[in-house]
Amino acid sequence: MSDTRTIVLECLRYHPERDEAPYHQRFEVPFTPEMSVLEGLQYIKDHLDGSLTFRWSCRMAVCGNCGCMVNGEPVLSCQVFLRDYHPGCVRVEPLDHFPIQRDLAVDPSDFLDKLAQVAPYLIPDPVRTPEDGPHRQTPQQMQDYLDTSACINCLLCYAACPQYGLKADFLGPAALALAHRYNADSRDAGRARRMEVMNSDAGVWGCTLVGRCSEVCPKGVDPAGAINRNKPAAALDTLRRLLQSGRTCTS
Amino acid sequence: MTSTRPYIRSMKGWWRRHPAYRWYLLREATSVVIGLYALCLLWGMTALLLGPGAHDVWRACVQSLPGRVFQLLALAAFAWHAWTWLRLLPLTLAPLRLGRHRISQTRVHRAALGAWALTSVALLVAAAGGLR
Amino acid sequence: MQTIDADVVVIGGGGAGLRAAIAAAEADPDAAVALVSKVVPTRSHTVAAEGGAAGVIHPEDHPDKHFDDTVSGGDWLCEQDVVEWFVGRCTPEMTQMEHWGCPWSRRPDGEINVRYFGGMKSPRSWFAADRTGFHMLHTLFQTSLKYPSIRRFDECFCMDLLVEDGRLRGVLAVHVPSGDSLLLRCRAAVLATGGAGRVYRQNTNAGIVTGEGMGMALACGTGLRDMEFVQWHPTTLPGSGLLITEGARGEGGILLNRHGRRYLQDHGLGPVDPWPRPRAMELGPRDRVSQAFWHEDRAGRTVPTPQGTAVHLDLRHLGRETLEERLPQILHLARTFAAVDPVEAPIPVRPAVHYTMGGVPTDRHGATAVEGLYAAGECASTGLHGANRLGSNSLAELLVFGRAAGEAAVAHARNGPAPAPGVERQAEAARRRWHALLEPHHGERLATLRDAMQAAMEEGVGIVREAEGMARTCETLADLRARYRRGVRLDDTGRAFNTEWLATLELGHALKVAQAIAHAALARRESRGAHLRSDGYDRRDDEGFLCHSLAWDQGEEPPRIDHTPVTLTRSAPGERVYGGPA
Repeated sequence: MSDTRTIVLECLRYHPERDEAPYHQRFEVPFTPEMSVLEGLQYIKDHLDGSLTFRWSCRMAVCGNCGCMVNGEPVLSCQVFLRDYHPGCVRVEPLDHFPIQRDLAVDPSDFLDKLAQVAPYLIPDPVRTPEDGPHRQTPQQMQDYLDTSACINCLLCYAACPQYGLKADFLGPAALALAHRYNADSRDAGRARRMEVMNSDAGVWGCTLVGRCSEVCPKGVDPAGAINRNKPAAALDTLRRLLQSGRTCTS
Repeated sequence: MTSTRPYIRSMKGWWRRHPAYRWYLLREATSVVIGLYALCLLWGMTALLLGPGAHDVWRACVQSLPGRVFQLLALAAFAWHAWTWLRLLPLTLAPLRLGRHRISQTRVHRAALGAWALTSVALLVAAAGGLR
Repeated sequence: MQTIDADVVVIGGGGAGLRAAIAAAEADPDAAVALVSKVVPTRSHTVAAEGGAAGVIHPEDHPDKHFDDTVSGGDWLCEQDVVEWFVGRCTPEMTQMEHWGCPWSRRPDGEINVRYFGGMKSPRSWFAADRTGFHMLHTLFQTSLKYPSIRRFDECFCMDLLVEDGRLRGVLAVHVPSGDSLLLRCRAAVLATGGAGRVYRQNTNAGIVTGEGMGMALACGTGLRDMEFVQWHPTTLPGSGLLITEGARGEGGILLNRHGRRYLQDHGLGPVDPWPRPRAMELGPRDRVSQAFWHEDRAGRTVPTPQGTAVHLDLRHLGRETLEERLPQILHLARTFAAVDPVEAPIPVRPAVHYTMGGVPTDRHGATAVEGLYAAGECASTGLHGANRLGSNSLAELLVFGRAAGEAAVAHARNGPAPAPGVERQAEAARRRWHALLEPHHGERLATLRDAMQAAMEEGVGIVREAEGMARTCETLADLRARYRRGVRLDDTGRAFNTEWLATLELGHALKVAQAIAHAALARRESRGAHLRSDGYDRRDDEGFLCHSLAWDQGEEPPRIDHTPVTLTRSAPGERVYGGPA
């Protein structure tokens, strides 16, 4: 086809069975205007080097599996396009701040463990059964948590957060945003249970408001906002506990 | 499931990776200048207590060339810190609504900037009045 | 090889798998539940479902209507006892999802909102904007974190079901990042591995929807039922096949051909007015709407695009505000992947493969022909969908049957016989067999074989089929299997994160599943639901073919096709009437 051009993809390679350290490898890829960076990687895997390893699945920016660094920016490789980098080269690297398992695949298990710590599920009070029917929740009440519920766990925010890179125990943007998602839900009564985790150095206080997480989020979640909106509540919680312990001491 | 050998990258020189990180560090660094300026004011007030001699020394210092440069620097730091702080302000507030619609973060930022400018002008006017 | 004992192993971390795992954990908190998924569960393809999940809640709706819509939508090939059971359980499941936090879209008064989908007499689709599957999957995944008895094995690829004497004894998996093998000894397993849409080239499916779950079950003797019924979703982006939800038409979107005519009126779905009305025009069932496209395309009334011909899905009259509230993801998809703003211009769309109605035959509790093996979700054939699935029934299905399978599996694990010894030997043999795929340094590239399979399926077993084309595809597939056996040359021979090797494993299964589809299609000499023939069998033939097809594994040979009767309870086969006056 006449609108096929060629672009260079420079991919980071690392094979845990063979390599001591990662290195870059260049591939020349023919592309058409509608081809995404992900499709460029697929072309390499199908035709040039079947050992190039990367994750992908839905191709439509909702499964969150194809996150990587493209020219230093954390992106979903399915929704950035080769045409926008041409005639320059495209440097594709695994998401920053995560251990590299192989090539472009990083180990997401730290995030998954942290997500589990924030109790990211509805903790209702009282508990209902399906016979009781659905809760009533107005569209306006939904607005309080709908944005944060859009998180696809793509981990771009972690790759954009230097605090996460510097401080291994920081729960990080997405996990804290999802904690906020349930705190902000009118059907939830679990705020107190989540507070202990959130009101800690690893929790909201680990955030120094670099703010990049919200800039790179492909779903408009605004984790920086979600985290920082919880700081006043966390501070009050500390105060309340101080007062309570004071009272216990004097009584 | 133990035979993986993941490669862990260093964070050395992390601020060089993105301009946004450098702006962030600059924002944080302004606090140092602001802190120093606060110390300078504290020195001035202590000098006021100690007597006219001490106060004259302080005034001479702040009116000297290095003193003026320091104050300009502090002004710039204050302005930059205020700008960034107000830009981040909406992130720390519960979403504001006007009827059914949420007020955008840009609008909150602009409103805060307006309030800041007004307050600054009011303070300047009041201070000028006081001097006269 | 690491060995782990579990009571129930759930294979697949999508909607059905997660629902099954939660059901098992709730039914018996002491039972050890292993959730094995080849991707992190939130990457599962449930995430891409957009429009809605069926459940009767609207005052004008009734379970009988849901039954009638499903059975007539399925062209009377549904197991009617299963449908009856299903329609009564959808709404409690949707409500349960609400209690777990699923953000179903609401009416202004705070009650659940429902929308129309194709083929529905009343609005019945619970929806979470146009991210219904996404929200359901994440709600289920996050809820699953509550249960300490669920142990996740993320990115563990299931290589084989270990069956002896018709009884399941364990599951062999490989931990993808390390390449280490993993034997899960168990008394019961729930197969929830999704469909096989990737045997076709143009499809709405994620890259992981490769059908190996179906292939593994077929190999261990469950058979595959009704595989010829493959659903084309009528509205997907040309080229990529990305899904533009039926909810877009449910909200009032219209389909136009190159002359700007609402062409569905010319294909038995009209008249146009009054619009909107249920079960007519753009709210017709998917088989009819996709087939109408085929006819328009043949008649040269489609719009050319660089990625193939298309028709126009026009949403402009809905207005920016409605689109942003109800169809935000569609706006994003169209803008990003088709460079079209639906607020300003119609979206070019064409049909693409979306769903496999058939699968591993099960009863309503998910039990298969192998003792201890259960199946739920798209990989299963409960008999719910018949010859054509109604939109919104699959998300409801994965909840209702995922739960049923999870509960039945844990009950079986508790009451079933003790695990037989010797499964380790069987696992080791299977491991060697699959590792042998790493060895050949000759043969063809994986992509060559895969692309040839997909092309053959598009060519011979497409929206409209005829004997000659189907037979040709059957031959091509047999040839491809022979070439596959001769060797697939891998660039990657390491163990750690070897996705090329895993894709080769997937392709081996996919080829068998593709054969089941093609041979079952060739054997069905009639037209019914999504199976439309143009070679003289263009009518439904209840005398000859009111029956399920069953494909049986024949080793290296193509599958044997049998037919078995359909359970009818209260709805005798009638004419499928869509459109007509309001």
